[in-house]
Amino acid sequence: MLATPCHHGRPGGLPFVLAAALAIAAAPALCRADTPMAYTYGFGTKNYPVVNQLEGLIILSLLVVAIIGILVLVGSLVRRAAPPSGDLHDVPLLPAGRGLGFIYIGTALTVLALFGFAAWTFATLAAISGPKGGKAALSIHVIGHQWWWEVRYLGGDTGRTFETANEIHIPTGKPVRVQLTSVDVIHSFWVPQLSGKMDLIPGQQNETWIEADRPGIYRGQCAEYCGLQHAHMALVVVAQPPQQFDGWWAGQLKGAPAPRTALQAEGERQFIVRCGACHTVDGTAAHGRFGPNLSHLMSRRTIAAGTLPNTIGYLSGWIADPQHVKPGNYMPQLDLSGPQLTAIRNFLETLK
Amino acid sequence: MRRLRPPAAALAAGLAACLSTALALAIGPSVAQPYQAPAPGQSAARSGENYTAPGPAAGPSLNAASPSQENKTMQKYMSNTEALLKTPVSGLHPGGINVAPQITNPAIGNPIAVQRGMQYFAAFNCVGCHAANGGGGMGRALSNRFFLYGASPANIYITIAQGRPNGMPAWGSMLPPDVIWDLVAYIEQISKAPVKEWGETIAAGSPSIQQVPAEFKKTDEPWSYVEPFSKGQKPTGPYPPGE
Amino acid sequence: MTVEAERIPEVSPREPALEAKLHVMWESKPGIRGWLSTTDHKEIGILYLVTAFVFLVAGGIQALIMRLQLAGPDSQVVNAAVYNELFSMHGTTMIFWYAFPVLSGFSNYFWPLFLGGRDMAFPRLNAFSYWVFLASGIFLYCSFAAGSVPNDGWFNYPPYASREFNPGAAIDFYTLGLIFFGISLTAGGINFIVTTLRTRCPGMSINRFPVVIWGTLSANAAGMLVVPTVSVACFFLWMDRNFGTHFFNAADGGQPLLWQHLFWMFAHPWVYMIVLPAMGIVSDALPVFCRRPLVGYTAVVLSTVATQMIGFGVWLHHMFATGLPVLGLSFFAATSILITIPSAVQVFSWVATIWTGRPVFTTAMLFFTGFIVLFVIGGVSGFMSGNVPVDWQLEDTYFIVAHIHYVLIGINLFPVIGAIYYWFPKFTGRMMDETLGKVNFWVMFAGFNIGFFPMHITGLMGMPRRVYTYPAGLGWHTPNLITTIGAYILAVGILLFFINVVVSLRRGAIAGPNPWDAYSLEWATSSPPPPYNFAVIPSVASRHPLWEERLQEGMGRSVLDRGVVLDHHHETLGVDVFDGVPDTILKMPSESYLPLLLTLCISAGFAGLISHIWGISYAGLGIGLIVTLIWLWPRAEAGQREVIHG
Repeated sequence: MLATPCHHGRPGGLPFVLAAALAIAAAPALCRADTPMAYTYGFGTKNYPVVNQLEGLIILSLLVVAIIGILVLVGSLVRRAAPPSGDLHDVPLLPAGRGLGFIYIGTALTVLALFGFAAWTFATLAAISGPKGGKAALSIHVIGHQWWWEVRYLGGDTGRTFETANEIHIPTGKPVRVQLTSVDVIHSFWVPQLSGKMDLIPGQQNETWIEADRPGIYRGQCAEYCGLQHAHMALVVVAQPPQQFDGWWAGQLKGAPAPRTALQAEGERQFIVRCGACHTVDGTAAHGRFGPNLSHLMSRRTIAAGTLPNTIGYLSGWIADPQHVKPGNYMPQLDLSGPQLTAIRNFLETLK
Repeated sequence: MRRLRPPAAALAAGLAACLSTALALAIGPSVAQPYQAPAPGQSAARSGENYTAPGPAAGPSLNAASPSQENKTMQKYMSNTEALLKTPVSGLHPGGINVAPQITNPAIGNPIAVQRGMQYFAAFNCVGCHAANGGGGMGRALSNRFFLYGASPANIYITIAQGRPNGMPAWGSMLPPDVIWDLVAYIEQISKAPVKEWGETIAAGSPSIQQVPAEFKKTDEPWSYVEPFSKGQKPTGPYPPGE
Repeated sequence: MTVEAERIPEVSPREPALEAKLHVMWESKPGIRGWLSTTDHKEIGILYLVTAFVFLVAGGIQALIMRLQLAGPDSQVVNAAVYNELFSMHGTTMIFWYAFPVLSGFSNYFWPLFLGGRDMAFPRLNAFSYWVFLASGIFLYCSFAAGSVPNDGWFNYPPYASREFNPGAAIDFYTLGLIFFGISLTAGGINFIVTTLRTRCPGMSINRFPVVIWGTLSANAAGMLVVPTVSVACFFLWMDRNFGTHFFNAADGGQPLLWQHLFWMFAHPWVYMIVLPAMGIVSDALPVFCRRPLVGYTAVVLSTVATQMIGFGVWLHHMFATGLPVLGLSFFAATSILITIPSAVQVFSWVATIWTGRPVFTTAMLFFTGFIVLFVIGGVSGFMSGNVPVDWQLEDTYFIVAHIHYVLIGINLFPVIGAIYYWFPKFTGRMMDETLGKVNFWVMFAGFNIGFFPMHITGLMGMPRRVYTYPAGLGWHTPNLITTIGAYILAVGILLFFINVVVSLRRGAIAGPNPWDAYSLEWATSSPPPPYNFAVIPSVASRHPLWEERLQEGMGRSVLDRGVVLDHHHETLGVDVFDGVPDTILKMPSESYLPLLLTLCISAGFAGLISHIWGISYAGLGIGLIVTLIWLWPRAEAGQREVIHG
């Protein structure tokens, strides 16, 4: 996707060629479907002004690099002196005095561009500092853990409140306030195609907001180095039409269904004993608070904070050896026997 | 805090040594000496979070434990379990000869194990009964050196695993052995006598040492910082406490 | 140094007899003993340069391992723990132990040569600052031997750096290492400042300084102000970790953000500190190869100083996403945008110098010209991230990684290597190979751009920095692979540079005193310069002492062959701060083991602190005090004590 830089044998040529190649080749590449984290395009009223300004800045930057690159290149070639002996003593000196015009004009143009962009920055900042009308339809709490995201939906009353992890659902077209804090180290909440970063800092509550104007799945990732498995701390934001979203919420309020088979019942028992110290499943005796809430595990798209797709195979592998893909995470090796694993997996499969 | 002797020795030698030695170590992380002996009770994958993985796994692939390694880990646990069962709780031995098996905590000396143990101690609600930093409440204080059911690492392990009358639940079926060993490492750490005294802050009004409320402070060395500690009993205090 | 009253120094032309006398007086001891006890600023400068390049290689190898790991998705060349240690040590090494010391190396070597003096104002302090720099670097690298390597990046944010989340000695190596290094910075900085203010040749008024003097002076003056900030922050963190204080611990009422403020208040000025002297080098050397004086010297000097000053007021742009009030963000966005202006002034000055000059493309000139372009790329990406809403996206992605490498490699490494090509004849008396040099430049330039330009794109694709691996399917694979290839090409380029240095040391063509027909004072003495620099102290009448005849510059003419003779002991002239009018003769100490000895004592102190064996620290402190006492003891030959004639 990048033109391979070639040797021009001339100073200054290469970056210019590169910049041009970037402008032509990379722009569409950055908007491809296989770059879900690219923020050169985005969705929602919060992101549109930022994307516009980013584009403006990229164009300005390429322009500046091109102008200076051409100036340096042309200046070097046009004025070039090549002493036949290679000795600088043979090139006569030129007096001082000329050339100040470059500084005057160049600096004046720079200042103009800078002021223009400063004004644009303040305008963008004002536009995205809060949702239009100042009211968010919904508030969610996101709490950072070493290396996963706890998500709490705050309903009007406690009966409407629930917890989930690593997957945030939002209704389309409605601004959502996100309150951020951390229980351990500093993390940063970042869903590039919906919003810029905001840090999760222990002892402090930060706030940001997101809004998606069309349904979709938006990937996010922790953007502040938070330790060993910082690389495996992703999340997804699922934007749904408001009706679907309400349905999803209602579903999340339900507890675990009663086991239908003996194997599922055995699985529930095993889960409470072996996993319940850390995990919660609503409607069962598992009330651990150390790990993610698994009440509706099977409705989520990924496991281990976006590390693996949530399929039966990956899920079994993860439970059997959580240290393999994400070494150092806090989920211990449980040394489960085959039948235990099967039972637990059967139980988990009921958590829709 | 004496546990940092190895770097000291390395430093004293290292400062005299030439830069190239350090550089050679920098080039090949696999050459670096493990800071602590790898914990035998932990699976190789687990020690991925240690600074350097144990020898054989220190090559390119540190993440996955080979099947044979896993088997070894299991064997270690099994023999450990048998030995654990022979650990006496009582101080009385038939014939007067103590034949208690020597069981050491596989996580011993691993600061990360202590730190994990601290997290588990809070997460599994041990603090609910034993109070923050093991100060003691509904459950017995763990911040002193008096353990009703034995103070050896094996005794503490069995106490956690099997539970005890009057309220201590049995965690053995719930927690895998390495988690329990992490907890043991933490408990051993907080029940150690302090090697130093250091006040948190000086209160404005008086020159006495101001203490941080125990419930706000997670630490693996309660006695290093505060004196007197709000709850809890001094490791060096009288026994039974209060006398 | 001390003042000797009532002596009027004689003035004479440069004579072989005088040169021989001075040579005996100033020469260092031969062999290893000479290197260990030297106070000659030129030897110390070489030591600085060589040591800094060793750290460059160390940091570079770490980078190459990381690039191998990142070449493909989900790769397992190293594990997460090792990767985190590698990027932390890479950043810390390059930014602290390479980038500034390498510039201090040039400054040390050339400072008295630029200014027409015999040595730095405090020669022993100068040696001390070098030894502490070396010892602190070894201290940091001992973390590998101890098996607990710093793993929280070069900015080391708590709470991850606190003991609760990072037990072991790793972070202590970082905090103590940085405090240790700060001693070197402070000692060196004082020396540069006082030397500039006091020990110059007659006529060297401040408007005749080479730009690199201004750059280094701004950098070191800033260092004096900001190094305490980071030392204090590191001390706080060390106390938090070892004695349970709670400066950064939120649970106990501390404030994790305090570290970020303290650190960036230091580290942002620091970033300018490690580029301004390098920019000064270009401003001084570009005119030589363009065969005309620099366009807008005054503007460039004012911009240099202004950059450093505004640099104090931009630190918050590293913290835009920490939840600070919008008004504060706006202010810091404004200053971050403002700081572009002085940089623009300098860029246009260089462009104008090329356009109105007659550029001769030697290898050094290629590096300086390449630098201008890289500077602009690094500059615009920096400007982009000064715009708050956009920075919320760019921050902590590979875009910023690209930016910082364009800034640090483009504005530090390229000028530094260009400067070696430029000054190599002065260092060694031999020219570097120009053919190999040009190959070296093009390989480095191509490798660097192939490696680091795609990082911008990786960043725009949303790849966060400091991840030890990344999944397939996010589109990050291709640019990462290109970056890895480019990084290895860059490494080959740097290897070519080292080969050229080694080959040219043995077989380079013999250079005269002034092979480039340059204008400044260092080219007025032989190559390599004699230990006493100048046999007679020159007096200068313009900014271009060796060109003024041809340029018809100024009123009077510089006098280089006749001047004040100072041959009683190690002596140099002390001058008035602004105009360079001499008013005293300064006596200077000769070579000494004391700086090395004191460094060893301090090293022992830090070894005790890291190991908690306080006895070692006490011993180091005690012996160190005795060494200091000996250091400060008045000596007869320096005129600090009356000589009793028996």
